[in-house]
Amino acid sequence: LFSTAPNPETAAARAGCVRAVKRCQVRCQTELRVGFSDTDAAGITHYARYLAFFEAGRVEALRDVGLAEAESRPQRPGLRLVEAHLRYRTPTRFDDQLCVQTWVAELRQKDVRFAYEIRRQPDDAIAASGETWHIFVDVGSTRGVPPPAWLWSGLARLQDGS
Amino acid sequence: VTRSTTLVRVRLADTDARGCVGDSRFLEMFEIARADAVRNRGLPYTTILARDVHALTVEANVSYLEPAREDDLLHVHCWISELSQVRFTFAYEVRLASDQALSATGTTTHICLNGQGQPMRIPSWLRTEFEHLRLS
Repeated sequence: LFSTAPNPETAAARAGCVRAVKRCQVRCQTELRVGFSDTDAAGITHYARYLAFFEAGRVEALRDVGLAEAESRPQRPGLRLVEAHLRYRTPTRFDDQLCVQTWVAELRQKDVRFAYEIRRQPDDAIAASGETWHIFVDVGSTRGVPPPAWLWSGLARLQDGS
Repeated sequence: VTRSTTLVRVRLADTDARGCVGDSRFLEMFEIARADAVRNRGLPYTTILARDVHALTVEANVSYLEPAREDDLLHVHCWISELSQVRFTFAYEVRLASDQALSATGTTTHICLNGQGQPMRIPSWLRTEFEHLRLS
């Protein structure tokens, strides 16, 4: 469904994302294609699907900072979603190639705010942008706990402008 | 003026590996609720479309509170919170039917497009119905 290019040099090689990569070196770039089941009777991508696209971008960003290997670590951190904001700009259609840019907009001891920009390829039009706000928890729990140092420093690397 | 209320039963397909309703499912419940709200005003969305008026979502916000789980019955309350010449905003509250705990709240903002896909003012016949759904 999607491939990812967290390395800025690789991403910069792709014409579509160059402008964004130049502006900010720390955005994780995830490519995905709009599936037929993502569309509705209006012929465009259903508005709820963009939250799943954000998730795809976030999961790839978290893989990049090592969350995928966290299964083997003593503390299994999780990110509980508490708020989501989505702004829809340009409708997208079946088979459109999208690039989800994901970065950390704000990082604190108890919570993290991810920001997203979804750009349609190859014209680079912004399809949607938004933010999700998460509280650090242990997997299987809803109570907030401070994240382990490796996760916090990994997320800090994804911080915009850092 | 009263809020429109829709009952939604959480299905297995709504849940994720945590056992809770998935993040994006609330946006679908919001859609069910606002479709019900205008349908109950005598304007099913198909009728609005037949008059060559399309609604496009331009913004959505969700706050996640108490998780909902499979087989939970949910009350989705919905009303119009903002109404201008060109934009309208629906507000939502999702509550667990068992104890009325808030599971999620949110808003969605929309504009109207004509048959050519161009933005247009909200037509007066639609505005009238929206006024009936308006709570500030």
